[in-house]
Amino acid sequence: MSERSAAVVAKLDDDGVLHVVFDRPGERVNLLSADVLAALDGILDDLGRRSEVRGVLFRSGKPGTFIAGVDVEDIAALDDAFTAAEAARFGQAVFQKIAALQVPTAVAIDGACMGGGTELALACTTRLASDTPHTRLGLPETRIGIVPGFGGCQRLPRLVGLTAALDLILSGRSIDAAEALRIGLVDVVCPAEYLEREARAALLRGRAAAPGGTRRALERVVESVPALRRRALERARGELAARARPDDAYPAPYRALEAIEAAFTLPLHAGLDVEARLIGELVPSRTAKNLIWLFKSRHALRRGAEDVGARPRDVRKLGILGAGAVGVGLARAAADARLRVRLHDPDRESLLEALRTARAHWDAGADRGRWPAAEVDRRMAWLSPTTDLTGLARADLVIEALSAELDVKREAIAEIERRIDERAVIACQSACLPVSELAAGAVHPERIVGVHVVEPMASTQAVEVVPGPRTSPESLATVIDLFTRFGRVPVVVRDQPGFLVSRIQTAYFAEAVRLLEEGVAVTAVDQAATTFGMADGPFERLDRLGLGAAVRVAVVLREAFGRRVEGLVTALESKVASGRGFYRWTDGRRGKPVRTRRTARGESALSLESVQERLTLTLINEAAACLEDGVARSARDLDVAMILGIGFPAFRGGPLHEADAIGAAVVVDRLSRLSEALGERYRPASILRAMAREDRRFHETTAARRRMTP
Amino acid sequence: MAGSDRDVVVVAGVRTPFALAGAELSDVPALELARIAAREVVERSDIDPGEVDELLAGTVRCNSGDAARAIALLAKLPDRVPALTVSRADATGLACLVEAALRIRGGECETVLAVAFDSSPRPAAGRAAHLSLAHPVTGVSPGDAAERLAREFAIDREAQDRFAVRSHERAAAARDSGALAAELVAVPIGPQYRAMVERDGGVRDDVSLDGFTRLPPVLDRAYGTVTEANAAPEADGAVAVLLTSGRFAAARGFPAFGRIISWGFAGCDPRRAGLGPVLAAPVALRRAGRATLGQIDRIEIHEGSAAQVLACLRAFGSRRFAERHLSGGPVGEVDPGIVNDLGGAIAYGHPAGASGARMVLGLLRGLERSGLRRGLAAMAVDGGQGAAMIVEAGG
Repeated sequence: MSERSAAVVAKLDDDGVLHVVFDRPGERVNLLSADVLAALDGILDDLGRRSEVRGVLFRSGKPGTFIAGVDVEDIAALDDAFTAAEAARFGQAVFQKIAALQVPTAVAIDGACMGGGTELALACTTRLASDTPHTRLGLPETRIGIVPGFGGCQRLPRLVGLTAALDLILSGRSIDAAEALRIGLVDVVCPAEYLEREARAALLRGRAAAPGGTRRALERVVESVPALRRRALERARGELAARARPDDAYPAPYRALEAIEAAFTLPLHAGLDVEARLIGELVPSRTAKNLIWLFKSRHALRRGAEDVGARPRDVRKLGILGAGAVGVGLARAAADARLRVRLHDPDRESLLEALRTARAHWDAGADRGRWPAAEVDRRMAWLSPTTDLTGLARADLVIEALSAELDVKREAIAEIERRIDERAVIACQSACLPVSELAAGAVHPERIVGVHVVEPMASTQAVEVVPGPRTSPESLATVIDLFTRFGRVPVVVRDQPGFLVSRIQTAYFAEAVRLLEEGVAVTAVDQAATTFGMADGPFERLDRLGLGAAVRVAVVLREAFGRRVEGLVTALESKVASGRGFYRWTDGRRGKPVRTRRTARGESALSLESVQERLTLTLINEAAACLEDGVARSARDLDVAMILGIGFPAFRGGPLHEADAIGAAVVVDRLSRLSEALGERYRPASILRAMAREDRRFHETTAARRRMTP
Repeated sequence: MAGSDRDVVVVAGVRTPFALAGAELSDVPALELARIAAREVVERSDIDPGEVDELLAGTVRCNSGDAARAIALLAKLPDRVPALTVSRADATGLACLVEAALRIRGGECETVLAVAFDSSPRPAAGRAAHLSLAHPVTGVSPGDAAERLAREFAIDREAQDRFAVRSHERAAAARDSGALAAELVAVPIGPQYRAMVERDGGVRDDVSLDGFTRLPPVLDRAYGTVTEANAAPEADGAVAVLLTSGRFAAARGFPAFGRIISWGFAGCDPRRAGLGPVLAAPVALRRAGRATLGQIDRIEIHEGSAAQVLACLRAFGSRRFAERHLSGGPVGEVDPGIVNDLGGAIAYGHPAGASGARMVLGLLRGLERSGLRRGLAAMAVDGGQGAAMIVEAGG
């Protein structure tokens, strides 16, 4: 006796337990797409007529993964408040049917249980989770600009209390089974192999295994006394604001506060209404659209190796030349991915510094309880530091990150080629040097790939991957695959000086320096950028990147693009000569700006809006020019690289999304006016003018992208 | 013979610097020293770690918690590589290589990674400390045994001190000539990583006969001759050696730099344990195709103490000793000039588990450098044993 749909099946076992099994055919993970929800709804309706059912067990047919959430494609397709709210109401109704069942219900969670998956679990009587590290529970909705809308904001606070619910929903972070047990989100944690047995036993016993909710009495008082509760919510709001996310840019966590408050002030059905209303409000908003787009784009780019059309080489040993910031960052990522690393640097002090940095990072993780202290030694043991160039012959991939100088890099490539296996790949790290030049003297240019791991690594995720004219698809796929394993987002770009990130960023820095020369204060320029939503201001970023490195990039781009960056080179060179940055720094914290004769006054008539406009339009115009030149394969790639590479605000969806939002005609108009007043550099890119003429957009609209579902 | 599967080839060898117990390496756990050496020999040899058939670890002091398997895991060998810990007191380093050679010669393994290491707590100095090293059954301490040999072979204090000075001078010269660079791997001192240990800490440049002469004897103030300076101090260090069959080395194109030809062990009077080399060497020589001492180009005798090494040199050529302890004639006269060319444990210190492997490594490099062929390494073991090994340079 079974009912079938594409992805969810119900089977009654001999003891009267109905197993509702999620198993999306042909996919690695289960998603609660609209059709799955509808099928689940049908199963639940049918259940009312089946008296032989003594309990219902929800589980996954895929070992190691439960339900990864709602299908974001479905959310992305919701264009107006009404349909979005209705979609939420439908999900709520299905889960309400689970909660209202007369028989006990249990959910067996092994693997990722996110968003809608967690909300389904919350509607059950008993929740069981496996004790494996890949079991993670969470409600990440606020990270894509919405709130949990299938009852999560109502049921989670009721189950685990205000404090824990605020933490999980507002941060969107996921937790492991042990923590879920501690806060009362799950009732039982056991080995994956025993999950089903324990769940069936709990169902046949008739009631929940243990009463959920381990809150202390104090917590219950806070929840029930309105004044205390309000204070707790205010504190959470204050903490959100302190993280410097303007609530008009990222409203979701603030709106989630409302929904969570409703859990204590309103009956369930009214609280669910609040959720549905918020979904209606948030889902069609620009922020949610862009964050969802970013979410999907990242996933697509992380599958980029598949698009190359060649099998990536299985990298088990990595050679890294150069123990600078990038070298260490990659060595650490490799150790996290359980790869043997031979880390070379000619300088012993650099190697020691690398070991210190790596150890400090893992120690910090241990301190935060992310892994046991003994794990730190095990991670360190993946690294093998050396001052000579031995130990490369078995490396599947060697990353050259020794120096920024072309000659040194070429020499290093030649040295690596002499030492490695003929099938091994060489990735050459550079912010700006074309692979065609780096690989010019190589014996096997087909195995050389350019990479630009965007710095600072701690705050960026983008990696530009640059195939040279002779790079083989296998080499390209290997590099993309490796950086994906490292948790980075690889974007394939065309082999041109500065590639994408450095080129656009240099234009942006150049504009910032011009503003400075016009008398705008360093802090005013940076503030204009951060008010716009940039992760940091251009001058703070220049300091963080290192002015020496920035000059080298600017010099290379001056050769390629001429006078536009002349002012930047001069300004940075004088800064380097002065030995100081734009700001004073103490222990990695930014202090006051360094005063110089030129910037002492900081007097300028330019308003914050004007400064912002000039910075933004510079970014947009250079981005459009890059797309026109084919530096990025698509508007998607370009915008992702800008968000994850230079800290362009995610809620704006990147410079090309921003251009779409402003409208190409308006962008062209403003640029033209700046061009007349200030010079050629603002001349709108021809692709912008063409789009303005034809009223086109860089990104297709959601409506056009909407998937047709049967 | 080259390329034969019964040939035991030394493909690569690496060691950490040795540091006196309680000195530069005292904050580095013994297993970390062993891990660094093991990983480095894998890296430098460029062997696929999946092709290591077994890891053997030799240690005297550090075998709590299954040392060999721990090293295999820490050095990131694949899970399926088994591991065995071996121990033969002072000769553990040699014994570890012998166990490896047995596996290869017997066809059980194609490649064995041998890791010989030890680490000691800071030793208490003086008479009490020396007596605490007495063998648990015989009650004889190394100092007792050395004094007995000094008396019986009439080796005076000055000869002992001269030999000790020579050990430091040779070791310093070897270091300065760069002869040791190829076998050393620097040890970063975690968890702070403020420094790397790159040199052997025990080797001193400022030694003089005068300075050594002034030191008091450790055990017998009135008639004793053995001092802190003319006997080997305890030390920390690790040596890793990759051994393969000749066939395997040839197939993979490994540039072998030495072969293990034969070995021998022998028991002896525990009160004269220091003479073990003279009893074990003939066994190894006989097994090396009835070789004679005259066919040996270089000799390494473990420097438990100067008195003991000098006693061995006399016993090697002594008819009287041969009549009493050996079935045939004397083993042969030894030219002191070919003994311990790089200095010995008096200078480097003695990590009990590791010294034997350091000697073999140094012996092979010395032979290779001088274009010589055959070498003998021999050690005495407290409690009354001798261990010896014959090696040849090149593949």
